[in-house]
Amino acid sequence: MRAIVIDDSEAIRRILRNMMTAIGFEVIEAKNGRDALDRLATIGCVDVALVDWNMPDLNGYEFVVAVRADPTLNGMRLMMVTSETELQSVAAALNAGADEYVMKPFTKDVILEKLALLGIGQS
Amino acid sequence: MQLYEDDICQVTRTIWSTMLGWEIRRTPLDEAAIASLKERTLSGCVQITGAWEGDVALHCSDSLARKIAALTFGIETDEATLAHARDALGEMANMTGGNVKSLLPAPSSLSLPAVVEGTDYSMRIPVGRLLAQIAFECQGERVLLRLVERDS
Ligand SMILES: [Mg+2]
Repeated sequence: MRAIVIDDSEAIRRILRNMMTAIGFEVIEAKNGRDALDRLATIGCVDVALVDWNMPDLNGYEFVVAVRADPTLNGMRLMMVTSETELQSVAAALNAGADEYVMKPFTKDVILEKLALLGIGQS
Repeated sequence: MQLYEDDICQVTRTIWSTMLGWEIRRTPLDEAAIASLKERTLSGCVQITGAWEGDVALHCSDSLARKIAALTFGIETDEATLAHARDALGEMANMTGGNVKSLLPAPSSLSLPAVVEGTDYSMRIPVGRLLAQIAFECQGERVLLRLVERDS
């Protein structure tokens, strides 16, 4: 299984990478939505993307919209992992095509729980 | 004001314990708290714009920022560079801003975090109205959180 971790904070990418590799994922990192789309164009679709919201260049919401408009990325699961805690934001992300929404700060248990809801990772 | 402060303290405790596993304790905003910030400090700030406009800033010593970085990056404290410290404190400010934003009038949006270095934090005067200024202690060091509402 492959995951892409998209966050402008290297610290958060490191934390999420460690969580995901511990449960058997191969992890690719990207520092914003644009960087992520570039990487996906090279490596192809992955099983799940963990997506921050506030990032320069292309933010997480814009990334979700772009992925859902791209047939080559069809079926990729999208999990927002973000400090954006407003209910309107959660609704907007889910309407745009995100599958799950995790608010920062997050625990490993919450990430695993949400992955299980998506039918991926360990349950 | 009191309501803000209690809620902000709760949000701060949750962020620090969840992300770092550290207890952060509110302390009196006394001379010692201010004095501790006269040394080399880093400040992580985010701006909120929309139905409420202002800034949330987190100030701490360079050494505490490096400890946070070491923990989050999984490296030794003496291996943590200023770049690591800026990244980690910026993200702590981002999380704080996002969670504080949920206590304020909606809708509003959050800026990317900015991290600045300074040697005398107390000399910096925020632009706007200081709504909350809360001192904390964590890992034997001081942390100061400021919520400033921009003048409209
Ligand atoms: Mg971010």
